[in-house]
Amino acid sequence: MNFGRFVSDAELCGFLDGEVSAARASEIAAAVRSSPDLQRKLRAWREQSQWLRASFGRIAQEPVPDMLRQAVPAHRLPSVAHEYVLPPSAPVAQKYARGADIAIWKLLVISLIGLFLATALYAGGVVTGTQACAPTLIQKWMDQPKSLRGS
Amino acid sequence: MPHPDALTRFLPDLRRFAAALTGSPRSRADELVLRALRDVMVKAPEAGDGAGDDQLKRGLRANLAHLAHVQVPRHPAANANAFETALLDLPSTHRAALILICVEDCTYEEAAQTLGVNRAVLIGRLAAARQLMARRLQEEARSDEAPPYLRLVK
Repeated sequence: MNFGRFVSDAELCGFLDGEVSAARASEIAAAVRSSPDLQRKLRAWREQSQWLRASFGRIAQEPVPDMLRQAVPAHRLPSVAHEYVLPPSAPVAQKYARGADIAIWKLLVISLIGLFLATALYAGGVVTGTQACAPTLIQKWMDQPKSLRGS
Repeated sequence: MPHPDALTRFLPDLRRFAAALTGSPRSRADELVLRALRDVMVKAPEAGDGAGDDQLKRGLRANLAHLAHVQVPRHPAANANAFETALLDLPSTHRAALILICVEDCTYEEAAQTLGVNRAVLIGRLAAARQLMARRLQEEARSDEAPPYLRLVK
């Protein structure tokens, strides 16, 4: 059996519409020559294509009805949605939009850092460190007798 | 919104595509084109901004195919010939694929993009459409040839 000669419907479509490679096209052409079934199928499909072109192709040459012509405005309509997103002029608005994106990222990073610091403080690590390395004047003042603190 | 000149330029092609999708009467096709235009101008005004001609045309065709799929009943006109009846008898997705290739002269790639499917799906629909249509026409031809007392009554 010669599998190179097998032609699926999809391939026959591609052959008819010029969408297969040149090598495959010559194989398909050979298969069609030797198969009355494929010839019949191809003839029927060609007739369909010809009928479709003949029936509808000329519509594009007809004058367009006024109803459709009038539906297209003479000038560009202002687009509400578009203006809302990009207010005065597109380049400036796009710049602002990019700026807004960066600001959101900055806010997110700062929030994450803040959250980390707050967690660390709550856990006591930073407080302990401060206490350990800072026997400050306040601590000294606290250690004094009460009578001396007021002076 | 797309530039009005571009829309006006595409109107004849859009009418042809819509007429092939809907069959006769032609007024049905023109209504479909009108709806597609309104969709672009009112519902999605930003859709055509900055779009190239090809992209805009593809978008409008896609909209027409969708509208034909959801809104157009598959009733051929009383005076429709066998080809038109067979065409309207196809599933709307298959019909759109066949029309894009045979009437609109799209490549497989363009047609697939318009219908939002991949190339393999498009070819499958196209082959199925051609087969279904051929079978339908064959049945029609047989019923015409048969004597009246054997005619297929639907």
